[in-house]
Amino acid sequence: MPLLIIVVAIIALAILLIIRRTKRSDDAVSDFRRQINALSSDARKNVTDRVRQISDEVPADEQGEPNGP
Amino acid sequence: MARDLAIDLGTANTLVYMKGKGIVLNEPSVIALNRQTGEVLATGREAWQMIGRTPGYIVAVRPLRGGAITDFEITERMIRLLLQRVGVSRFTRPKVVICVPSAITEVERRAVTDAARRAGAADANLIEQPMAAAIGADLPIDEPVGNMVIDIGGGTSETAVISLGGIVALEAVRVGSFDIDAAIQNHIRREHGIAIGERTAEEIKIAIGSAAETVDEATAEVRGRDLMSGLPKTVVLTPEEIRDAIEDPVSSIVASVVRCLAKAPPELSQDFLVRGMYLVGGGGLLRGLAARIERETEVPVRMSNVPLEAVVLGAGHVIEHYDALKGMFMGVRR
Repeated sequence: MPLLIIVVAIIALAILLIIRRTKRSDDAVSDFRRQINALSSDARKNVTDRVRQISDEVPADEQGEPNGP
Repeated sequence: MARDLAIDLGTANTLVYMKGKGIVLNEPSVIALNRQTGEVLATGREAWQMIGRTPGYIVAVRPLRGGAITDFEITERMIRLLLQRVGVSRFTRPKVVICVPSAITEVERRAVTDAARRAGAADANLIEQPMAAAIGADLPIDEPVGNMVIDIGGGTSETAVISLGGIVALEAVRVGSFDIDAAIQNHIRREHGIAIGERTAEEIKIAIGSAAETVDEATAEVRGRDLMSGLPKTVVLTPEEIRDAIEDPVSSIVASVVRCLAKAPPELSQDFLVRGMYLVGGGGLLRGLAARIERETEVPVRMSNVPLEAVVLGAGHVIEHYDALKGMFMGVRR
């Protein structure tokens, strides 16, 4: 009986470890996808619109001096 | 509830981006202090106007040099005042993303994050300037193609190859536009026997400084203090002599770009020939620099639409998508 409990516990632990490992690798994949998606041009549209707004407001030859106002 | 912030803590200028609002502050990284009491008298633009023009008891300083904090306490006070100006108080503690040179040491990294936390940030994370610049310059860094960014700041120049959201090759030197100003100051002192301030040196660089011969070249008159007589003196400077005077820092910057190209994987090198390299940062505005890099690398160089704001806009994008992009912070990547 105690042997059976130990075997069941080992199997359960192994299954848990496998599930955790698979989940972690899935997490890494989805994290990477989320990161790449957040860097796409669609995701950056708001910021790029602001870039355009700034470059439209300030003519290229008046974009300030490198070290000061 | 505080709005999260992105800060480009540059040697020359500090820019702050507020989540959902855009750039809310763009000021020189200068602080003026009363030497006797330690009181802050001015920051930003107001303090910048004081450089070299203060009585003995006031000192106007740039607490960052070469992209690194040279005076921790003063930097902390400057960040605290800048954050106060954009509405951060002890009750509103935002998350902050700070752009720093990629070559900073662990100690410098800790100094920046500690300074931001003490200044009122709930959490402070760092991102490399070239990475932020690539995001802000709207380069397709989410694609498996080589994107090359050259960021020339006041104290550092960094070149990075970015593909699939990560830095593939990187080269950084602690040489920037302040070193170009210092080279001009030294040249005028040595060759003409005149002492000029750093602001005058900067004005000369803007007026006639160039990294390569340009079409419309003019001379400039400069007034300074004669080192022998102590009296004011005027001399005429030519673009050729300024070009020679700044050759050392300019060639260091160009050499670092060449080294980065050499480090890039061959598959990505092919992309640069078609897509070119992107120049950002205030130092990139030096006349003829893009042409000089293009000539020495045989790779086309394009100027960003917003060279001075690209870095903070990139960090701003990171703060807008904080959860998705937090894996890009320095020290988080494996």
